[in-house]
Amino acid sequence: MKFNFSANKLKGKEKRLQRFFEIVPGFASWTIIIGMLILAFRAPIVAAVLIIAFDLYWLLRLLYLTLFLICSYFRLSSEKETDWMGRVRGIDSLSEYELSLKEQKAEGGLKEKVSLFFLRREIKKLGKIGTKRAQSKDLYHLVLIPIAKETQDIVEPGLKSIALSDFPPNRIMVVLAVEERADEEIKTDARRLLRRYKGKFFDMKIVVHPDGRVGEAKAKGANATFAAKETAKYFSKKKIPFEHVIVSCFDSDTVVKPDYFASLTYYFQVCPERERASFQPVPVYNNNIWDAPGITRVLETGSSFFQLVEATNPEKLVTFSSHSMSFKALVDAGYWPVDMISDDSAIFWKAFIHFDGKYKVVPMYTTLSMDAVVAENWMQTIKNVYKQKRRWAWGVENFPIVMRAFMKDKNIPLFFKMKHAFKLFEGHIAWATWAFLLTFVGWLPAIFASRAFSHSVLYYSAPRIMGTIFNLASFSLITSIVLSILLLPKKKEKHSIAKRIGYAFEWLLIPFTMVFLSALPSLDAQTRLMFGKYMTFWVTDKKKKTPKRGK
Amino acid sequence: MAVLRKILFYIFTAIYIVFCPLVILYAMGYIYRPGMEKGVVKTGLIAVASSPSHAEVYMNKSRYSQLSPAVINELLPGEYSIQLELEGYQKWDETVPVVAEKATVLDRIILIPLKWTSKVFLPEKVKGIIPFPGSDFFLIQKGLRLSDLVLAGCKEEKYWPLIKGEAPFKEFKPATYFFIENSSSGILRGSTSDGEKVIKIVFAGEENKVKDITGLFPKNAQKVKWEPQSENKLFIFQDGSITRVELDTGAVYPKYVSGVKGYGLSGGKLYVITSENLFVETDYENTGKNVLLDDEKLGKKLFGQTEYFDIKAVADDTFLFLGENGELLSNRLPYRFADGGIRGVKCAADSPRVLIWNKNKVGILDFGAEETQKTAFEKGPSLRWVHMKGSNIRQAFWVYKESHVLFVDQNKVFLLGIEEFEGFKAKQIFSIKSGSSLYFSDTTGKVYYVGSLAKDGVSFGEIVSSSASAVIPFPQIEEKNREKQSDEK
Repeated sequence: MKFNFSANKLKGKEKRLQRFFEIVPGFASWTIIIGMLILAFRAPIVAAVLIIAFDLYWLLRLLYLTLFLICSYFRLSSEKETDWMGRVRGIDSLSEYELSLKEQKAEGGLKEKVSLFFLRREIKKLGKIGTKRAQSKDLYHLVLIPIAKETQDIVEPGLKSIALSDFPPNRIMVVLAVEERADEEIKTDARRLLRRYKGKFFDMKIVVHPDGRVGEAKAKGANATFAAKETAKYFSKKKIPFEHVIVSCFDSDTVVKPDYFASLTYYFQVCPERERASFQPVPVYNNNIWDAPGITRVLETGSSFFQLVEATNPEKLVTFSSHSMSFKALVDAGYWPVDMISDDSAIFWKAFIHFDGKYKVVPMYTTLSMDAVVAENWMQTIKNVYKQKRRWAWGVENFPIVMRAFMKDKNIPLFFKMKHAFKLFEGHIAWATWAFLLTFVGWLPAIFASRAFSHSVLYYSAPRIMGTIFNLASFSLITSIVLSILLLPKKKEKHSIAKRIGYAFEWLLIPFTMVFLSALPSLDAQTRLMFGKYMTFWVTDKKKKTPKRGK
Repeated sequence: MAVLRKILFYIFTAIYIVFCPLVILYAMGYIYRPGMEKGVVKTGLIAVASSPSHAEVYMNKSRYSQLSPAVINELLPGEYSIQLELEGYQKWDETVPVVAEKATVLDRIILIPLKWTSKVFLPEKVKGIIPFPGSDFFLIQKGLRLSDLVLAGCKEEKYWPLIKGEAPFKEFKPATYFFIENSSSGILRGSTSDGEKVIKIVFAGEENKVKDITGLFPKNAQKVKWEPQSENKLFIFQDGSITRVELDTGAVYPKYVSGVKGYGLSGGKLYVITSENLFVETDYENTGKNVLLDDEKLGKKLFGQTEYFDIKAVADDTFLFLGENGELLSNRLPYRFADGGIRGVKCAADSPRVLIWNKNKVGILDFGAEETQKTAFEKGPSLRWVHMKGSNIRQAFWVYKESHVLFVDQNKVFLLGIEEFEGFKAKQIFSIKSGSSLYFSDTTGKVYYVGSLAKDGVSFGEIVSSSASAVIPFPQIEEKNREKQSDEK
């Protein structure tokens, strides 16, 4: 469907509709919080009953998600030793590969068996579907790295990791998308990197994004789009078909494992509708995780867990952070939005609407690593984390656009539209309200009980039941602690037992982080959108403790 | 994964649909009773907390595994006998009703020691003590002169001479003490060799400020009032008029309000019953008068027979009028609560309740009781006498968040629980020197008094345990450990 994805320059009914749907999430979140506060004072019995019902729902949902977190983590670790490049070569000669897989026995334990099971299933599916196969020799990777404030020491580790890829780097093109408004130091750094790495790739370019282009916001999406458009001209000139290009838009601090592009190539090859799909790895924030304070470590691990859980539900998966897609799909969908902050999720919705709902996200059971938020001092780190989470929560800006599109689009089935709209809406409302309800609002009826309520059975039993619910929820917390320790990279220096215990105890910060560094930024973002105070892009300040590399 | 996800989704949804109503019903007191009379029944609970805590809890003679504070759940409606036992303390027992979906709350039980134990505070023979109600200080009288007065601080559990060394008022002999509740200052009128003097003392503990205010004080002052938050603004009643005195500037406004037959201060406002029996509210500056009762006929009926009334504010809109002959009236129906004999009233800190006593009785007047609000023909609250067997009740105090009353009858001190279900039983706990006063600190839960023996100095003891002076602040979050054991004791 042809749709004006931009919220700017709308007129008449469209503009009113956009504004209405901008108000809805914030209004709903505030209504829930204030409504519960009022109920706690005016009708504490009703409030206590609602809170028990909510806490029980939360517990079941938490346990449900924990099960999938375990499954997803198992799936991720089952692919840890996978020879992705071997698989890519296998697909290149599919019939022989199919045969060899039939005879192949899984060596090792359960993880290897699971990995082989999924491989056989994918290959079988690929064999059955007669779509044109993607031969790895025809494929190119385009890596876009938008740069605004990031210095060489932030960008170089990522470039280095790409250069060390198992997938032949001579089929990888890297574009450093530098903002014109960036400091001269940043531009010099980019030029230095170009000189140092150009020879290692198929090609490498710097595309400077002019400042102040009409219709653009100071957003990463505008920079990435400009670079992608410039690169499209380059591919056309080189006569490289867009369908043979997989574009990855990386945060500048993204570091990939050597097998990342091989893995991406595999997922691209086995995906039957590869030109109608994005490919989403699991982002982890391991680059500097040991330099980050406990709060950041817990939050970032939580974000990785969220993506792991989401990966188990591809039907509703939305792109997040560094992700990849067919260049053709990107061009067809009209590139990333140039006036939105949440370009990572917005591109999914843009493609989803453009292809009338026939667009999906394929979860990749592989990780790519980015920097956790670390600033000069603890307080600044907290501030930066808050701003970063608010920026992520600004993804709520997609809701009015998606709703507008859904109201127009007659080709997407109604149920499908409702499912996606509900998930988008509910996800943001839950993000902004649940932590408040669980840690604060839920206890108010008991604290401010009237005499009538304090002399009821409910007054005494509600906190006991809530206590039991929280005790049961600790299963999920313990699982998270164990998985977080497993997911963290090994630190070069050895940890004392006390330090390890300390890392586990960091998870006790969850109530604080959930309220102040997750729910509050989300509520902040929704409130801003509700009042039309639109956010501009704020580049997260990320620091590494390692000394700057020599220039 | 998608299939597994769907299956688990339906399973979890089914669990929620089934369990959520069950948990809510359980939270409200519904349980399933197995056996002969099986079925869903409504239950109630009993919440017990005591001072001191950690008493053994018995229900219908069976011991409950938890010590106080405890919550006994899942009780079928009916009557239950609850007993609390703690070594060294009298058994506490009560038969209490349990109502479906309701909690019977016994969260302010005071256990009385088998043998009253007290500590010596001041090991000297003294004449008596002068309590300042609501403050953390009281005076100990060793002799007649100001230098014989000792200031005692209950927070610090210390005492200091009221004045030090060769202070100019050393020979001052106080005759009249003017105090108001919750104020840490007092005005003393007495004599020296130079004649009558009036001094103001601000109690601080070791260093008390004494100021001669004789020149500012009307000669025949009958009553002196001020508010704790503005201690330098005095309103003095004499011969039917009020004189206003500003202690910080030395300004005196004689006959600031004339034609007065009663007054009181509250919230920066002056309340006056005029000689025409009208009830008037005005600010301190005496501007912006607001007549709260302009019905002269009613005013005459209420206030006409009495020369003077003290006015106390129970709440913003509720006032008590205590006549000089012990008449007790209010601006709330039925207006007249006692025709005479009332010796004292004490307003509760957190509720519109008033403790009242006369020579033989102790009573509670509750302006917040539901019947005052919800009847078609408003009757107003009635004075509920909770103890009627006194012979000479001289003092009474609210104790333990207004759950008990401590009173002095003759020279005996009694404790009376007023939240009890089986009627009110005052229990004598100790004796004091005949005719002397008692000081009870609500802050520390301790009582100070002059012992009953001639040699006794000032003693103190604990009425409310400092470790358990709070009510159950929040229901206990603990595993249900209701474990009825047969009482083998």
